[in-house]
Amino acid sequence: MKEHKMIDEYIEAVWVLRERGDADLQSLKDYFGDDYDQKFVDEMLDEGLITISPENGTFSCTETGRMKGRKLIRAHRLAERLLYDVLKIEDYELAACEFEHIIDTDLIDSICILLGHPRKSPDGLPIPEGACCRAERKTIQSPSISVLELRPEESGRVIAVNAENDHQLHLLDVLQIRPGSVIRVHQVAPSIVIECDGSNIAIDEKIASCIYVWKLNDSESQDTILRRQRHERPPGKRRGGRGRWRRSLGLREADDAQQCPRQDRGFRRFKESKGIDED
Amino acid sequence: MAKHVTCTRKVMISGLANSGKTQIFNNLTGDYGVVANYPMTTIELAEGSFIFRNVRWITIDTPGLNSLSANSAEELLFRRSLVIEKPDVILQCIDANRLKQSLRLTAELLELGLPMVLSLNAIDETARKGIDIDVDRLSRIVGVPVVQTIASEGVGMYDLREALMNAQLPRVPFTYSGEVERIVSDMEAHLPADVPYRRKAAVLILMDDPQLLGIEFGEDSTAFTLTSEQILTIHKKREALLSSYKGQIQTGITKQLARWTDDIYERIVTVHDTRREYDLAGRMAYYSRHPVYGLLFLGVFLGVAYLGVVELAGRLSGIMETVITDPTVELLSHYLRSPFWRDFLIGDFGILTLGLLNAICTVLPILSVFFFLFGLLEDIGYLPNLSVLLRRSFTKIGLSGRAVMPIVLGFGCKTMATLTTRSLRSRKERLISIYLIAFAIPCSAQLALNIAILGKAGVIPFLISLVFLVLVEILAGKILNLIIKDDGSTFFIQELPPFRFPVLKAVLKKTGYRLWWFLKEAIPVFVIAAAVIFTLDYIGVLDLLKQLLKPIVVSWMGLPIEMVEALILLIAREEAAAGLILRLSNMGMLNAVQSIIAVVVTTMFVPCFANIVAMFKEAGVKVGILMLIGINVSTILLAGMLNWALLAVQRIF
Repeated sequence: MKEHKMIDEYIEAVWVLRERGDADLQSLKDYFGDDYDQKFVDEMLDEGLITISPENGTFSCTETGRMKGRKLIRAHRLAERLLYDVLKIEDYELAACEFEHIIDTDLIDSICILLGHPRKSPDGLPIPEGACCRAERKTIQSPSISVLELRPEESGRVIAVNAENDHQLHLLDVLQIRPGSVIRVHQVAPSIVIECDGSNIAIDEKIASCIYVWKLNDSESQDTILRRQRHERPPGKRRGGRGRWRRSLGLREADDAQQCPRQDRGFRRFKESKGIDED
Repeated sequence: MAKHVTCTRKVMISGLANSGKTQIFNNLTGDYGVVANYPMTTIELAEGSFIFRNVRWITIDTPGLNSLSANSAEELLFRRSLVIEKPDVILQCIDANRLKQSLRLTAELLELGLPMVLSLNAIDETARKGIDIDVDRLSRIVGVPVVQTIASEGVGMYDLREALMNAQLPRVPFTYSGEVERIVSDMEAHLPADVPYRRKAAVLILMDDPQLLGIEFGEDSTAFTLTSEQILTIHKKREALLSSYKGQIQTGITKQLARWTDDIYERIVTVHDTRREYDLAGRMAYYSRHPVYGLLFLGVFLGVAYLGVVELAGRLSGIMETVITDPTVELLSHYLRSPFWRDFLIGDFGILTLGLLNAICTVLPILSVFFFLFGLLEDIGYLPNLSVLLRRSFTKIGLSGRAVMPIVLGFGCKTMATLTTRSLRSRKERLISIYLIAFAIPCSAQLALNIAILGKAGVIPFLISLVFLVLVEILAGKILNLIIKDDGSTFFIQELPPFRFPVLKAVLKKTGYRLWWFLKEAIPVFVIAAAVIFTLDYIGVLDLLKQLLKPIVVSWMGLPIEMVEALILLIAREEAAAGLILRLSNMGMLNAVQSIIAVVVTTMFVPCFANIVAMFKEAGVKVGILMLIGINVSTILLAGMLNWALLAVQRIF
């Protein structure tokens, strides 16, 4: 099992290096440093996942290799999004590595739907599209919808902003339309007007369709906004860290539950959508 | 009391669009810059000064920014002036309503490494919403002084001055964490020594900014110049750093900015009242954007403006004429024996009758009423909401919603509106907007005078002209949309200001200043233009011109030959021409159809000189000249066609 995991790491590394445009053996050695082991490269060659050009030592992926890498990277980066946006975990990297080996395609697609088909990882790296993204598929119980589908006076918590380009993304980001923000729709015609961080912003349908939210029901939205705003963190105590990671997975002390309504709510939603019973 | 100045320091006012920067500037310096409740009121830098405790503070007002990235012309202008003006202190106006947005900008400004003062504005509004902001804590966390102000009432100005005197660098400089910080400081260390604001410059370079602090790479500037080798080294270093980072560095930086903002926000904000009180202003804003009520709202405003200008201003100007003009003319004609002087001063083109008295007695009352109404609308914050209503129709003529604001601002001042088109990213949109602004949109002064001219002929001519001008704009937009090549997709994101109840005193003050500026700028022009026409008439050139233009003006457009003078005046200033037409109309020389044509022609014809200059500045001289030709030729064609169509209709009924 451990061996199997390691070869996944190598397939992923090849993908990442190809993304950066320096897919050769030397870069792979640098990537793993002291942990580099030639045997996994041989294994990849044996399994017909990659080929190495004899002249300059650059990799190319075979169709099988590409499929496999794509799936792994997709799982990894979606897991990062899930951990970072929903569970609010700062050091998502390590946890995501564990995630990618255990979840199957259907589960990944479900997470993708849940998160509103995000296109970039928290680090800004592209997430390979799955079949669900191409169809923009939504299941009936899917909690993520685009702002376009919200009716006036409905609110949602932004879960993904799939802007067309970095410029749009930046504009929306400075207006505080980013994962985690709560927005409220005021009107939908002739233009869409949303409220976010105290300002009203008019947008067109194209922009609205790329902002994915989890719909909040009215009392919930009021409640969460207020609870979050009322909640005072003890001064000096930083976010993140292991405590947070434990808390967000439900491994928390009783009074913590009162103090951190945001992160465990997200996780509860996730569990609900996956049909995991709580309590 | 003479003040003893020992030293001079410079403070730059910055902040989000529509966060009250100009109001603070006015309060501090005692100067007056136009304030309004919408973004883009200030598009150029304004400079003033005040003296406090023996220090002269040079104060610079800047246009609104959302961040320091090169996303808009305003942001570039701000960055450029940072480099050139080298301020000692940055004063950031924070709109308490938009705390997170403001804080994000604070983070970016902190990176400049300059002493900062935060002015927390509109706290009265947030307090009413039951939101409490812990100012001391904010000050402690950020490490710079925070002053609570209510800019519109001048509250907190003394404290602000005091804070400026004591402004210091934040105790703990703003830094990133982890990998991002390593890369930023590494980049910073590799910048040439004379680059100002090195840290911010490093961040901007990593963010893939096309310019360095508003200065093009390699551009000659008074502040610093980079040689091509230095630029190459920077690029190489950047590449190396980027490949050593596992993700996208932009995302890494914005992510940390967002966390910093959220963190502070959560620590300083408490909400008391859970009930949402009935938000009258918010409801009104909503109705003004509603597809049905919104149009009603617009209709009501036009109706009020129509009544105000025609009835109220008409009466006022009637009174002023009987009190001022008539006695003056009578007196002068009695005492002036020489026919030359009589003609020069009080003849048809006399500098008093056509110039000074025309400006004061005819034009001024109309402008007073209209500027007041327009000022009310501005302070309420109505205009940007109009963009919500109009966006869909704009997409049909090749404009995204972003172009709505500049065009709507054209109803205020066409020159300013033309300058704001630089915030549009697509060249196509920019050109179409500049053309449409220059073409059939009347500026506020023109609109007021047009209403006055048409009011003499009744409501129906007013409506006919309105519909015609709207149709002409749509047609022009459609044609330009076909001609100009598409460049990339456009999109619409527009912040809307909250509706506010206008303060009568502020509106009156603004109206007063606008009228004063009008008098200062326009009266000399009126007088000179009258003198020029008088001279042309005297030496016989005017008759020659009239003969030459007769086929166009009289035969084609059906106007009286005296309109030639109005067309000449039009080049000097639109109000001057409108004033003359108003005089013609008062003398009963224009019938309904002619009034419509006259108004349509003056609205569409060559815009005023300042607007032409702005067009050349924004579109380039070549394109600008092409536009002018296009505008004038189509004006003549369209006005003539309208004339014949109206005459035909008149014959049928």
